[in-house]
Amino acid sequence: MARFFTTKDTEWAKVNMDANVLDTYKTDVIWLFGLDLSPLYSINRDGFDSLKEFPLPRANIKDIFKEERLRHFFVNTKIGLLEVRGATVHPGSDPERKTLPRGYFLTARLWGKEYVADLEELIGGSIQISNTKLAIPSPEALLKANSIVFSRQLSGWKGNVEDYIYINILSEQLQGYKLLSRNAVVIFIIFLIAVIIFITLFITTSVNLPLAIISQSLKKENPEKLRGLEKETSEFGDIARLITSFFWQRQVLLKEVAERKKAEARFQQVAEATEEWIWEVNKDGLYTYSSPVVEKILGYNPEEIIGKKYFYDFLTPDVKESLKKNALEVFTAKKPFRNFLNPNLHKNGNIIFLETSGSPMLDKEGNLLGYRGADTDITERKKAEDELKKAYTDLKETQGQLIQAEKLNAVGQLASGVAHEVRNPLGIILQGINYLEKKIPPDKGSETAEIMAMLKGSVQRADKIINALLDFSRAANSDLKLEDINSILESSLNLVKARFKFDNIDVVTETKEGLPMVLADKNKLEQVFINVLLNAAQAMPGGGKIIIRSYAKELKETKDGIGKREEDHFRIGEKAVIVEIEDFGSGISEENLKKIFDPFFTTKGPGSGVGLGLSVTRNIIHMHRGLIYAESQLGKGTKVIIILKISAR
Amino acid sequence: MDKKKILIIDDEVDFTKVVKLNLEGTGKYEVRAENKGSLGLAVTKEFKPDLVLLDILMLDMEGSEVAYQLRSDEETKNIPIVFLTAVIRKKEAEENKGVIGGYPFIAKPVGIDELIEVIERNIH
Ligand SMILES: Nc1ncnc2c1ncn2[C@@H]1O[C@H](COP(=O)(O)OP(=O)(O)O)[C@@H](O)[C@H]1O
Repeated sequence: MARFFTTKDTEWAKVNMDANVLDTYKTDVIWLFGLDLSPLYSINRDGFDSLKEFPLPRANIKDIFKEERLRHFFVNTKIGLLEVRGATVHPGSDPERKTLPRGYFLTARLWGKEYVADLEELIGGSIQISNTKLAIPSPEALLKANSIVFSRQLSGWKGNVEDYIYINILSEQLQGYKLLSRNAVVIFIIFLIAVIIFITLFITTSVNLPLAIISQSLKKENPEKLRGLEKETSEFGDIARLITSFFWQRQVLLKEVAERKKAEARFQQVAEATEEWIWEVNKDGLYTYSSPVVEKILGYNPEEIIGKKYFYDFLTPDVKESLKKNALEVFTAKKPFRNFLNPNLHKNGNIIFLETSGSPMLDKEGNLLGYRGADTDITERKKAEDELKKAYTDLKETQGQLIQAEKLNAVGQLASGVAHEVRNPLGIILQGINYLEKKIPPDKGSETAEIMAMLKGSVQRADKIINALLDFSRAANSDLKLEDINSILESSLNLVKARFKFDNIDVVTETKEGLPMVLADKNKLEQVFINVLLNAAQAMPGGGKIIIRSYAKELKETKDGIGKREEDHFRIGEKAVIVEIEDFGSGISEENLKKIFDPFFTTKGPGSGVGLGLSVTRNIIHMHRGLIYAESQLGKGTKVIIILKISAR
Repeated sequence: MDKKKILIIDDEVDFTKVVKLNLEGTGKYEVRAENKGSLGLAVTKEFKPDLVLLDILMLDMEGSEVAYQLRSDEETKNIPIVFLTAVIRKKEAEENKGVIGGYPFIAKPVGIDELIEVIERNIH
């Protein structure tokens, strides 16, 4: 374009500066002037022909660009306010416009109604152009009108005021702000909401969280979760500590309860397992607990007893009143009692002996609540005890007899020996006197006759002394007499005959006639044979055969009691009467065979044997200075052998 | 009338001697004395007495055993036996009317009159 100013080629200008350029520059008219201010070219929009001429005197153009190379100013013309932009033209090599200009380029736009309307739309407000300064309404009024109003001065090329522009923007936002500022309540509410939100947040973090932990730990019953919280000094810390200690106490309590339950179950088990009757009564003696064992003991079940019976209801009528009185005295003294023996009536009427122990149950103040204790059924024991007592006294008696017998036996032996050794010579003397009386009959009244009588009298005196000695030795066991063993066997057998018939027992007797006499207590020996016979029969519960033998024999074997020892009953080679009683029953094991003569050894159930039979038997035989032993084979049978001394010793 | 044959078995030699003299002195008895119990049976069989006086306590064989042997033998079983003993009391003998265990009994010391009385009571 700068070249155009030198060539002034109008044709180029017409081709290159058409109406399109107006749009490019957003302008209504373009003027080009040479450096000499000659109009070189102009173009204008249709209808703007009146602007063909530059609206200011051409001479002014030099002044317009005198200070600045780019100018923007307003000019009032007949058709309206004109916005003018202008620049000096320089070659492309001088973009800073430092060189001498080659010409002047000016454009203008008319601020007509249409353009102002466009502008108003663009800014969203109303525009007013005025050549006088207008007053701007008060802020209150503006606020009321929801509008913002401001003005600008529109300057001419000399800096003079050409016009004033007023812009009024009606603002929706302003309306909002106004509302906001006006409605403090709303703001307060908003503030409140904000506060609430804040509080909520605060609560969530510092209240809800601990609460959740607490509720969790409570729900899960797990104090572990509270560990963290416990360390805090806040109330939640207190609560956590409280809950933990509660949990701890509860655990201790639960443990105690569990242990108590266990103990109770154990007690129950023990109470049910023991043979002892465990009970509780209140202070009047009414049962408040009873273990089920009672049914076995007294025949009543606990339901018939608890709350219904008093302890004295079971006592036998003969002792009821006195024992009740005694017991209630103990109750008043609140004393424990031990192994108190008392007879009671079983539901079936039997007498049951109970051994009762009890301790008082007291409350904190020491008042009696009742008694608790246990009863043992000692009926069987008492029976056994009584039997034992009797057996013991029997044994004592037998023993006493035995000792006595032994002593007397010794005296008796001595007496026998003395008798034998003294009476034989006495017999010779007496026979000798008889002989002399016959051979040399003395005259009656003679000295010889007197001496003979003296001799006879002395023999009698000596014999009397011997008799006294024998009397003394046999004083206690005067029952020891010379007896025939077979007749004792026969009488013994007679006593058990009926029973044996009933039990299907056959007895075969193989007794030798004319056996030597034995010095014996018939009744005691009968007792021996009956014992042995009954044992034999009991060994054959289904019946069977018993063989009884009696014979005399010279003892050859060495056995306990037969030998050369001083204390032995028999000497080898000594003659003795022997009784054998043989059965073909159960037999006795080798081990038991050693024990059958021991007191209280029995293989029979209670009621049928106390194990004293053979022990007493042996004592009786020993009293006779005899021997007894048994030979047996298990499953085959038993033979009891009794060796008795022949009389006169 | 034939003399009664009496056998006395007793290990007291002096006693049998004097009893034999006393009994034979009456003229009514023929007496044989034996001092060994164990020979009792054999002598009885040979002598065939009408009655045996038998001491109970002898060293080699008890009188009761001799009696048992005599009773067990066909030849001798019916010969009456009277026991002589030093160890029973007079009273016992009396209480049992002179019979113990089925046998007549005489307690030593015994005078000749009493002896003859018992013999006469038991002899067939
Ligand atoms: N003839 C027998 N056969 C088998 N066992 C026997 C015989 N005799 C005794 N006994 C055994 O010896 C034990 C003791 O017997 P005993 O002293 O009479 O007492 P009891 O008969 O009271 O049991 C018996 O319990 C039994 O075992």
